[in-house]
Formats: sequence, structure tokens, C-alpha cells
Amino acid sequence: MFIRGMVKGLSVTLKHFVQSYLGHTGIRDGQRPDPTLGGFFTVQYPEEKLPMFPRFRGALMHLRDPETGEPNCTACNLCVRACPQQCIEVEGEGKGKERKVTAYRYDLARCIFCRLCVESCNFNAIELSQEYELSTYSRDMVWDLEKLLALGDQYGVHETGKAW
Amino acid sequence: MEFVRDLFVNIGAWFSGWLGGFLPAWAVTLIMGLIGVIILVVIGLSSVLVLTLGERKVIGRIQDRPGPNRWGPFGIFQPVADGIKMLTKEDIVPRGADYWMHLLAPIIIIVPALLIYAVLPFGAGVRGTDLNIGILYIVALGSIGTVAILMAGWSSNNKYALLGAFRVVAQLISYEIPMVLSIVAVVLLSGSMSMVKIVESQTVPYIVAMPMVFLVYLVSAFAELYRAPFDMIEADSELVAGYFTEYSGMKFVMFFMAEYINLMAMSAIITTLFLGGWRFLGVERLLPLLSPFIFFAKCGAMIFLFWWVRGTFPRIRIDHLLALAWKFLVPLALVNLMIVGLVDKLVEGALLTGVVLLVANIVEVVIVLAILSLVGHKTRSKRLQRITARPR
Repeated sequence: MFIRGMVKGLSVTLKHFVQSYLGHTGIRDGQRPDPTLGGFFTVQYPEEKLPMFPRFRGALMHLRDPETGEPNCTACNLCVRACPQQCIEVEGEGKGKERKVTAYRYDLARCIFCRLCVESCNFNAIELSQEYELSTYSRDMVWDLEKLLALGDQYGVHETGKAW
Repeated sequence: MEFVRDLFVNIGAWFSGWLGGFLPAWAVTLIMGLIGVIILVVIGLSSVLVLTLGERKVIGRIQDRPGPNRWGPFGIFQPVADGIKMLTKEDIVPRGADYWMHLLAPIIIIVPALLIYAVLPFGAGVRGTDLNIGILYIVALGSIGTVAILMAGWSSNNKYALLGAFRVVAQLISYEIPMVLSIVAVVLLSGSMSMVKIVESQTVPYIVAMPMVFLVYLVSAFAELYRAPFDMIEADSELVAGYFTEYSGMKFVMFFMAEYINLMAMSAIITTLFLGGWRFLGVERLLPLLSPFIFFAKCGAMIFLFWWVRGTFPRIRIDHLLALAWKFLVPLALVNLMIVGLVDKLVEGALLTGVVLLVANIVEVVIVLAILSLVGHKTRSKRLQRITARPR
């Protein structure tokens, strides 16, 4: 009988309507939406952010040596050569084992998040972060070493390729 | 205290009395009429603001999302933002369009929608006017909208608009018949076409006395308002946007507003005809002040039903739509009319009439469902034969 079908359909929608008030309506802390909870299923974006997957490829970040607190980068230019977009520029000083990075420019506007720079790095110095909110109001999309290091500190990663 | 008991009526009486102190009688009538018009138009237009937001909220909740919530607390300024956006849009008239038709169609659709409010009885004594052919007036106004839709579709010089308009005119004209037949059943029982008299004659709300008439009216109302599941008019997946494809800016807003003004008016008409209007268990006689609130609460329940159905059912096909009107609703409405006429003539007393009508309606439901399942079974098995007999 189609009458019964109509009533069934109406009861389903009414159930969801009521549950949207009774069920989960707040901010989920680092959890993906769960249809069994009831309530809002959509992510309330600016208030609520989805956790990214471990292998998510966001903006580049620089890693520090956890003991000395110095950046691991030795300015060996391997990442510069690996980058198909040529969006990385490195300056360094010192010879041999003392060589340290002094400036690092990462052009976010050109980066395609291919992770080839990380693959090429031999010194555990760079990794892709989970940062995905990369839009800006101005065109200053070239990130310097300080910003990249700060991003690394924010994610607290000391080792590349853990999730890979 | 006596003044507050029937606040709205007494304010009107006091104000017209005050005006009569220093103005001639015709001026008092004119001013009171103008104030009434302004109040009714404000009710009509402000209902658009409330209903657009409410609809998006309710549909959103049904689909497990919060609906608009960016502008102001709970998104209450969303209609304002929408209005500003629409007002600042460019007004486009397509090349090859019939300019005057294109210009007039939005006006012709919104004016009858607002005119309906003149006869709606919002409460005991709270109304624009008590026309003695109130419901006939509403039906007549309802048909003018069809002309406007055809004008809009034809003058746009766009095939989607024209197709949408054709479909809608077919739909509106078909569904007017079961709708009017249901209204006739109500008029038969109440013995009057005046909206106030219809409310006053409902000791038992007509939805209880004759649920089948209500059901036929409700389905026709969905079609008359061209709302889901009968929204052939927009059918965005088939027709771009239907008859107002070529409209933008303020002209589009007028079609949009007419839709919501009609929704509000239709809920008010259903409340008046079937739900007992402003009456609720004698509260309206104790405290007439409450009667408009009762009316609007019933209206709100009806509007929620419209939203709820829109959030539930998929769109019906156009041929199924017309078949439903002509093969199902019209015969059903005629049978309803016959039953109501017979019971009204044979049974004395309001309460007894109500009970007998209810019993007759239940019997009718059973018979209709039996016939439906029989016919449906036959049609299905015939179609199955045709499909299996088809050469591969």
C-alpha cells in the first residue's frame, strides 16, 4: 500500500527533525561525523574542523632537532633540485658538517604538494604538515624559514615519513 | 479589564470613535479602510520573511543540518541579506521578450495573492472584511495567478519558461476542480460562503467530521501552491527554473514573494475551512484576545505540514500528476460531495451530523483503498505481462 509508505517516509523525516534538536548539535572535537549520534551530520566548518588523515599533504614545514632546538636543514639544495615547480630557494653558510641553513623561501603559490622535496631530503629536515587553510587576503605567499619552523613546532613532528 | 479581554476589536472601535469626533463619517470609513489595508499587506509581506527563513531551517533540520545560521542569532537576518542581494541585482529583459507582458506578469501574480488577505478571518472580529461570498472571492482570485504564470512564461521568449508555464497551467486548472468541489462540500455543510460564518458553524471542526474532504483539499492545495511533491513549476532538474527562468532582481523576488504569500494564505484558508479557524475549545469566547493567536498557531501547524511534506517526498511525474487529479481526486471529491449532501439533508443536529459524516467518511476510505489496491494490482500485472511479452 502506498499510503503506508507515505506515512513511513513522513515518520523518518520527522524523526530526523526532532533528533536535530535532541541529538548532537555542538562542536565535535577532532572527530568525524557519526550518523548514529543523531543531530547535525554536516561539519560546522569555521567552528568545527575535521581532523586530517595522517598522510594528508598540506603546506611544507621545517623540523628541529629535539635536543639542540636547531633546524635540521643543512642547505644541501636537494629539495630545490627535486622540486618540479622550483618553488624552493635555500641559502646556507659553513662548510661540511657545520653547514647550516640561513634562509629558506618556500613559494606556496607554486607548490603542488607532491612531497618530492621531502622524499629527497636526507637530513630529516622537512615534512608536509596538515595545514590546509592556506588562502590569504594578500599575495605574500612566500613563506620564510621562521614561519616554516613555527609550523613544525605547532605540529610537534621530529621525524619525517612516519605515516608513510 | 473588559477592554483588554477583546483588545484588538476594542482598539479599532475606540480609534474609529475618536476619529468620528472631528471627521465626517466617510472620512472615518476611508481612514479605517486604509489602515486595514496597510496592516493586511504588512502581514502578507512580513510572512514572506518569516516563511523563507523558517522553510530553510525546517528543511535543513530534516536533512540533519542547521540551515542558515550566519547572520544574527539563529540566522534571523538571513531574509534581510537575501533581500538586499536581490534588490541590488540587475534587472534583465531578454532580447525578443514581450516587454509589457514581461513587466506586468510579476505584478499580476502578487496582487491577487495579497488581495486574498482581505477576507481571511484572523480572529473573532479581527478581519479585513466579511464578504458574504468570501470563499468564492478567494477561488476567483486564485485563478488570476494562472494567467500571470502563462504571461510570464510566454513573454520570456525562452522554451524552458514556456514549457514550465504550460505544465503549470495544466496542473493548476486540473487541481482547481477537486479543490472547488471540496470547498462546495464545506459550503453545503455550513450553509454559507462567508469565511466568518464557516468558522462559526464549526462546532465540530470539519477535519474531524469529513477527513476525506480535507484530504482531497490538502492534496489540491499542494498542487495549487505548486509546492513539492507537485513542484512541476520549478522542477529545477528538468526545466532550469520554470516560468521565471528569465526573471532577475526585483521581478524575480515578486514571484518568490507571491509563492510564500500564497502559502500563508492557503494555510489560513485551510485553517478557516477545516480546522475551525480561531475557535479552540471555547477559549475564544472566554478571551477573544487570544483568538488571532489560536488562528496563527493553527496556520503554523499547517505551514509546518507543507514544509514537512516538501522535505519528505520526491517530485511526481507530470502525467501521473494529471492522472491523480482527473482519475482519483475528481471522482473522490464528487463522492464526498454526494455523501455530505445526503447526510446534511437526512440528519438533524450539528453533533449528530458530524458523527454520521465521520462514519460515512471512514466507510468511504475503506472502499476507496479497496478499489485502489484492486486497480493498482490489475495495472501492475498488465504492465508486467507487457514487459515479459516484449521480444528481446
